[in-house]
Amino acid sequence: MTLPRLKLISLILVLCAAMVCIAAPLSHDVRPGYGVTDVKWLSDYHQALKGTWGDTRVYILEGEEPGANVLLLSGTHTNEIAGIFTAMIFIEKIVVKKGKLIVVPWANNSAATWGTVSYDNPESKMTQPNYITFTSQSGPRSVVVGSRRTNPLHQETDPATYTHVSGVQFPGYESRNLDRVHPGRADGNLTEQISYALFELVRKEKIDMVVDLHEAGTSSRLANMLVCNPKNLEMGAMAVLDLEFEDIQMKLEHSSEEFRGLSHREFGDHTDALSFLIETPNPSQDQNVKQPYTLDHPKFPLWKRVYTHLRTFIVLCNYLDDFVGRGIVFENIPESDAFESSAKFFMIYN
Amino acid sequence: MKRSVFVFFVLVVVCAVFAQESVFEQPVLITSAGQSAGATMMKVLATKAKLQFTFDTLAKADLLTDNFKTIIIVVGASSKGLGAAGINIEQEVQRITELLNTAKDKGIKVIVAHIEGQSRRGKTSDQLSELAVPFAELVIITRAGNDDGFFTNLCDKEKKQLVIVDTTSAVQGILEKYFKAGD
Ligand SMILES: [Zn+2]
Repeated sequence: MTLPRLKLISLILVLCAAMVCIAAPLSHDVRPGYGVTDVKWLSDYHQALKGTWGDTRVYILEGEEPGANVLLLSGTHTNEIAGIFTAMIFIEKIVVKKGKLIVVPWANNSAATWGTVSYDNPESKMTQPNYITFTSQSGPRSVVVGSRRTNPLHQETDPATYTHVSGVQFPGYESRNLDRVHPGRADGNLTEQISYALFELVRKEKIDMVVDLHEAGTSSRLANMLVCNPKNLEMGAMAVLDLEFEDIQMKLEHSSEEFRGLSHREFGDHTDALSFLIETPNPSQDQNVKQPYTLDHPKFPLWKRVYTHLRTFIVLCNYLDDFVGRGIVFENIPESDAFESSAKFFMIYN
Repeated sequence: MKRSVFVFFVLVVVCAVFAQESVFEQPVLITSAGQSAGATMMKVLATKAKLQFTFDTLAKADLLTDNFKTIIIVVGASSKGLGAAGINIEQEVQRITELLNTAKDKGIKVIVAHIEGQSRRGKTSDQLSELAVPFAELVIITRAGNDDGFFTNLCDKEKKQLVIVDTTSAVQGILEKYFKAGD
């Protein structure tokens, strides 16, 4: 066979594979508990996402009594695993008595389809995604550790410069960063459409508060920080003070005026919802790291980071009544003694 | 017997002197020096302490009518906060300088607070602290922001009363204590 013909056959094979792959978004091992009253797709809020790698599962936990509607996002950056493990606690264990909680554990599901061995320039060394395997009450299971941005194979080639809807410009690769493209575009690239779908969800479900769970390097200014849209800074301050009594020290900051595209900025500005972003310290986001994820660590074990997310989110929810006049009430929140070791922590899950 | 009466007497005198130095009256103006979120934390703490206050992170000197008896200046430089307010650090320094000088002229007492710990220490924040502390009657800080003894040294040098608390929440109790005497 000649070389050109071989190349042509390879190309056709790759294209076929790509077409087959388009048939379904990435699925995850999530085991909903009694609290989940409905499971939807993100594409239910924006049809164009259906059948793309950007579609993702949306878990609804609706209480018997109406109250506040809250959207909990994780996996905006799919390597920031503490948020994902927190979201899974709500899906698998927590029951909502009053109000409605909507959980999107992998907000950017395309980003979960690839791994990397380079944090600084991840696209230069793309790999298969990594998997955390652990033992829960039901035995072995696994959770994917993906990347920060949309899979480059799922979206058109990055532009030289990405222009956000506000006109602010970013390096081209940020066109695949869900936390830079908000509030998205209905007819934009895949990442912008994911964002647009999340905004549609917020509008259609009349969401009162959006909380987006993230992680940052352990020496980052952002680590252990609650970032607030300016309109809900005071509520954030109250939460931070309350958390001190639980021995959780969070810094408080408000969204920047110039830095656009971030969830805490744009959900708060473009919808009626209050908007927060929580950051915990993740050793695997430090420079020159070798491990794609960190479970056990003397200072920053996964269970501790998840506990910070969980408590910060719940304390914020406790203030909804005061700030929007509607509350949300949870049952079955895991006790603090479940957050003492990895083995104990993983037993929370179904 | 005589001795204990004497000790009691001394204690009363000491307390009286202490109280005299530390009376703060209301209404209070709470403002920021540096536009970090610390001022909003103080607003929440003052609300919990049931203070009668006005909150204005960009309060200018002309706001200082006879209405106010005390100003609480919360130090913390944030480039995001300054950006959001549409000002640069030079303008912020000028606003604070004018505010402090006016307060001094009008006999309005000043409390300087730094309640965001290590994360709000740095060249610009320290510059603002050095600007404000000489005007203060009381300086309130959280322990985490004084690892290097910056505030201890500054208050020693300026002979200012310094209260160090372990948590930001504990500032509420300090406010209750110092403002109760003034009610
Ligand atoms: Zn992130």
